[in-house]
Amino acid sequence: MARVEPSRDDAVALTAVALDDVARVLEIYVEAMLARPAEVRPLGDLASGDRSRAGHVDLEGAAAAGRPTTDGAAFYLPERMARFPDRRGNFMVYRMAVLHQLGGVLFGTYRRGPIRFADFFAGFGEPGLARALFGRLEGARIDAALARAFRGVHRDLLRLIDDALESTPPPASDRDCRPGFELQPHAGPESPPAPAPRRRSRGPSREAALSHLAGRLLMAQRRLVAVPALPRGRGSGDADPAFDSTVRLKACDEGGGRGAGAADPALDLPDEAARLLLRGATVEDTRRAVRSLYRVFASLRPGAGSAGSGLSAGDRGAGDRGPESAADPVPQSLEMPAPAHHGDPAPERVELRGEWAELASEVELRDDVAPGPVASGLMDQLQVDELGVLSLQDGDLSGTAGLPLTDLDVTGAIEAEAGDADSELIELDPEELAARLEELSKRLERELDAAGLNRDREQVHYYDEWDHELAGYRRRWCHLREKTIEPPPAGGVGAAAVSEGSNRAGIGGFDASASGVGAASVFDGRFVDETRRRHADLLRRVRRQFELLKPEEFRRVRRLIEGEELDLDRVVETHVDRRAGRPPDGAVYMSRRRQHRDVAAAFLLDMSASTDAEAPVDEPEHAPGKTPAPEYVGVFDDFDWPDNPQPLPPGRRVIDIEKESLVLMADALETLGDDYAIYGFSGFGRKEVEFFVAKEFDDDLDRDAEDRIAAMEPKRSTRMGPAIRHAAVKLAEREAKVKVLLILSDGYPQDFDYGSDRASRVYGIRDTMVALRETERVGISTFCITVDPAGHDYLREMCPERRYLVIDEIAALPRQLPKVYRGLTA
Amino acid sequence: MTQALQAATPRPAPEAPYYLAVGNEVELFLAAHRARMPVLLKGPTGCGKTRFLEHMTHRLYRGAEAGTRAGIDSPLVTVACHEDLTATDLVGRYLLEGDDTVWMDGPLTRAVRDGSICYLDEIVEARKDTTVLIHALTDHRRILPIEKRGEILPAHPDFLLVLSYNPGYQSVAKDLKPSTRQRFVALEFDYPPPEVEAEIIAHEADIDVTLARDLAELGKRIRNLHHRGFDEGVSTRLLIYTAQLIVGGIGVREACVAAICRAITDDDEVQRAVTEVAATLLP
Ligand SMILES: Nc1ncnc2c1ncn2[C@@H]1O[C@H](COP(=O)(O)OP(=O)(O)O)[C@@H](O)[C@H]1O
Ligand SMILES: [Mg+2]
Repeated sequence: MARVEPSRDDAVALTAVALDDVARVLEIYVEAMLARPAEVRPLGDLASGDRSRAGHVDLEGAAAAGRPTTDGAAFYLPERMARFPDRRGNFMVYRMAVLHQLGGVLFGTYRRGPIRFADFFAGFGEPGLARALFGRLEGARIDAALARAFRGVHRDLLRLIDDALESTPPPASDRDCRPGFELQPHAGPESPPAPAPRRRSRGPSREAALSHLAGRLLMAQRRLVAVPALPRGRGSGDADPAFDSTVRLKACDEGGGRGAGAADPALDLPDEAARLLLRGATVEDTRRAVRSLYRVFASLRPGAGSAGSGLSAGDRGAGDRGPESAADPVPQSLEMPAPAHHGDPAPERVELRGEWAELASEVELRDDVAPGPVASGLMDQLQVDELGVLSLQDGDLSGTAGLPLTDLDVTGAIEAEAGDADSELIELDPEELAARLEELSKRLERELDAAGLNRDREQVHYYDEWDHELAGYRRRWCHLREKTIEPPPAGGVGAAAVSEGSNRAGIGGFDASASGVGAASVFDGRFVDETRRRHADLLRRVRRQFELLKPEEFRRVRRLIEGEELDLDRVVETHVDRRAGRPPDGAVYMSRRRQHRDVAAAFLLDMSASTDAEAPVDEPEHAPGKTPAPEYVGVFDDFDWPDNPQPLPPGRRVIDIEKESLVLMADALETLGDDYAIYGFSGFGRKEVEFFVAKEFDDDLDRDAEDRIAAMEPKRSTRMGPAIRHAAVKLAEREAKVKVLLILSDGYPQDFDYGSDRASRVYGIRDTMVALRETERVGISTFCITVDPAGHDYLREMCPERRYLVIDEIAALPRQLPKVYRGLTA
Repeated sequence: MTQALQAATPRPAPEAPYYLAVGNEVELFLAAHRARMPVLLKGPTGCGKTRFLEHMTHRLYRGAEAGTRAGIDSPLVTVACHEDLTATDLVGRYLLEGDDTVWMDGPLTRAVRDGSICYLDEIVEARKDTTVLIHALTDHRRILPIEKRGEILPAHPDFLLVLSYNPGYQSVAKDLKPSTRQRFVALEFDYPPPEVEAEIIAHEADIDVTLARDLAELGKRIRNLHHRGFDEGVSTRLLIYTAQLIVGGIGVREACVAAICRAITDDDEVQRAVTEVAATLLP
C-alpha cells in the first residue's frame, strides 16, 4: 500500500482516518441533520491550494491551523484525523466537528444581530484577541446547546473534553494565571465598551490567562456533559434542573459566587462565560461576554512568543504555520485550549456571504435592477438560490423542529429584534440596490480571493476509484474539474489555449511531451471547414446512411381492450374461449405506437499527451475486409461502405484525426437529430483530473462549438476512470431511452499515480473496467475505440464484450466511428 | 387470486382502532361520507392511511353513527392494487363449475352490492381499464357496469369508494388523470409532525414517550434524505417496529440499525450516515 503516505508512526497510520474516505458519509449526515445539502471539503481547498498563490497567508488562520470551519456553503475539515489511537475515535472527531459546525447554524451563531460581526470585531483594539475569545466562548455555548438538544452526544463530548483537558498544561499556580475577574466591574449588556485599561506590567501573561480561562471552561463543560443524558424537550423552563444546576450555582448566584468558585474549579468561571452554558444563551450573550472579558485580557501583558497549545483539530503536525503569519498583528498563539472538534466559526465570512446572498436574490427577483459586472459574475458562480446552509441564518428552522423549545424561542426573539430587513430591501430603488450589491460583491470577491476560495469557480466533482488490490473503492479519490475550452481568436496561430493554459504541463517531469506547444499543433481556425472539405465524400455517405435511421418506427401493441385495429388472432382465440365456456377477456385490439428515435450520446476524447504523436503518413489502401476487426463483426455488418480513404496530409497528429472524426460525427448527428455531447479529458494526478467540454448536450453545433472542438489539444495524462464516471453522470441526467458513451483513445489508461506502481497498467485498466461496468449498470452502453495497435490486449479485459474496436489505421477512424455509432444505437 | 386480494375486516373490535388525528381529516371524511363523495387518500406508505380508514370504518359502521350500517357484515373491503390488476379482477368473472359457468363477484362488486367501503390501495398501480369502473361509480350515476353479464349494478346507498395513492413514488406520467382526481375529495397524508408521531409510536409500541420522541426526531432527520436512493423515508411503521425491537430488549442503536438503516437503503454510506444520525439523537 505504497499510496498511503508513509507515517512517522505506523500505529497512527493504521488508526488515522482520511477525510476522502468519510466525506460522503459526513455530507449525508449533514444533510439529514440540517435538511439541506452541504458539501464537506478538505481544508486544503480553503487554503490557497492554487499553486499560483503559493505563499499566500490565510488571514483567518483556520486552514493553516487545521481547524474545521465553514464559509456558510461548505464545511471544511482537516484531510486526516489522527487525534485518537482508534479509528472509531478519529471518525467521531470528524462527525462531532461537523455537528459542531452545524450547531453554529442551528443555534444561531450566524443569525443577524443588532451589529454585524465585521463591525463588532473591528470595534476592538485587537480584533484578533476578540476573535479568539469569541471562537472559544461560542464553541462552548454550542457544545452545551448540542448536549441539550441531542441525547446521543454526551459520550462523545466527554471523550473530547477529557482529551483536551489532558493536553492542557496545568497552570503553574492558580495565582499566576487567574486574571482577576473580580477586579472588573460587572459589565452589563447596556454598558458601553470601556476604553482599554492600562496594560499591567506584572501579573499573569495574557496567554497564560487565556489558557487558564479555557481550562476552566473545559472543566465546566465537562461538568455539564458528565450528567447522564436527560430526556429532551420536556417543555420549557427548568425541566432538567440537575443538568444546569452545577453551572447555575455559579452563574445565577450573584454576588456570593467567588466563594463557591474557589472550592470548585469547574465553577470558577466569570459569570459572563458561565452563563453561556445555560439553556437560552444566545450569540448575543457570547458577544457580551467577549466585550467584558476582552477588557480583562487586553490589559494583560502579552507573553513572549509563547507557543500555541497545539490543540488544533487536525493531526498534530498540521498546525505548522509559516513565518508569514507574523503579518497578522495578533500573534496566533492566542489560540485557546479547546476540544479537538471545535473549529473556527469565521462569522464574518458567513455573514458576508449571507448578506450578499440576500441582496443577490432580491436583485434576481426584480427585473428593474441590472447587477454590475462583479456582481453578475459572482451570481453566475455562486448560484444564488442554492446557497445551502447559508439561508438558514435568516431563521429558516423548518428542518430543525424538535430542538428544545427554549433554545428556539430565543432565536425567534432575536429574529423579531432584527426586524424584517427584507421589506426594507423591497423599498430600495434599482440603482441603489445594484450599487449596494456591486459593493458587496467586490468585498466578497476579495474575500474569496484571499481565502483561495476562488477555486469555487470550478466546481470540484469527487469520484471514487476502484483499487483492485484492495478489492474496494477509494472513496472520493479523484478530484475532477470541468473546464470549458476557449478557442484562441480566429486565425490565431500557436498552441490552442485551453482555459487552464498549458503552462502546467510537464510539472513533475511527467511526460515531457505533454505541453501543447509542439510544432504540429497549429490552430488555423478553419479546422472544421477544412475537415468538411477533405471528407466531403464520406460526409455525404454518412449522412445518407443516417437518414435511413431516421424514419419513425412503429411498434405494435397487442391485447388492448380498445384500440385502432382488431387483432385477428385474438378474435379467434376469444371465439374459442366462448365456445368452451371460458370467459373471454375482450382484449382483441391492437394499436401502432410511434417510436421516436430517442438517443443521447456522449463522445469522450482522450486528450493525453500521446495524442500529440504524428499519425503515420503513408496511407495504405485498405483491402475491404481488413477492418473491421473480428471483435465487432456482427454488430453492424449490414453497414458497408466502399473503402475510399483520403490520403493523409503530412503533419497530422492522432488528435487531429480524432477531432476530424468527431466533426463528421457531429454533422451526421445533426442530420439524425440525436442528442449528443463532445467531451475531452486529461489531467495530472488524481486531484487534477480535467474534463473539457467542447459541446454540451444542449449546445448548438454553431461556430463556437466547432471552434471548441478544433481547439481540443493534447494535454497530459489519461486517467480514464473519473472521466468515464463524470460523462456517465451527465448522460444519466438526460432523458433518453438509448444512451451511449463512446470513448476515443490512443492507449491504455495511465497517470503518474494511477496505481502504486507506475510501471504496472493493471490498476488503471481495472479501474476503467469497473467504471465502464458502473456505466453499463445505469443503462448506458459504452464503447471504446482505440488507435493503439496494442489495444487488443487490454481492451478485451477492460470493456464489455463486443464493445470495443481497435483501429489499425488511424485514417480509418472517420469512417469507422459512424458505423460503430449506428450499430450501438440502432 | 381474487381471494388473496381481499381482506375483509375481522369482526368489529369493541373499540375503534387507535388513530390519532393529525389535522382535520376525520371531519373531512365524515363530511365526504355524508355526501357519499368518493375519497382519495394521498400520501407515502406507512403514514397511517390504512389505519385511518379502519378507524373511520369502525366509527361509521360500528360506532354510534352506525345506524342500519351496523348490520353490514364486511364493512371494509380492501384491495391491494398491483400492475396486473384488471377490471375483471375487481368486478368478477365466470368460473367453470362442471359444465356450467358460475359468476363470481369481485371485491368491488361485493362492496357495491352490500354497501361497504371499498378501499383500492395504491390505485395507480392498477391497469388503466380499472379507471373506467371508477368513473361510473364516482359520478352522479353511482353504478357499476358489469359488462360480462350485461348488468348495470346500482350502488347500495351506503357504498363508498376510497382510493389511495402515493404521489412521491410514481412518475408523473403514471399519476391519476385530473378528470379522475376531480371526482374525489382528496385528503393529503404525510408523516405526522414529530410530537404527534412520538405519541403514536409511544402508543403503538407501548414505550416511554421520551424515547418515542427521539425516534420521531430520527425519522424526521432521515426523511431529509428522501432523494438519496430511497423513495420513501422511514415510515411511521418502521419507527414503530424499531420501538418494538427496543421493547423486546434490543439495544437502542442496534434496533435502529436493524429496523431502519438496513431497511431503507442498500447504499452503505447512506446506511452509515443514518447510523451516525441515530448515534447523535439516541442515548
Ligand atoms: N395517525 C396515526 N394514528 C395511529 N397510528 C398511526 C397513525 N399513523 C401511522 N400509524 C401507525 O403506523 C402504522 C402504519 O400505518 P398504515 O395505516 O398501515 O400506513 P399506510 O396505509 O399509509 O401505508 C399503523 O399500523 C399504525 O400503527
Ligand atoms: Mg494516452
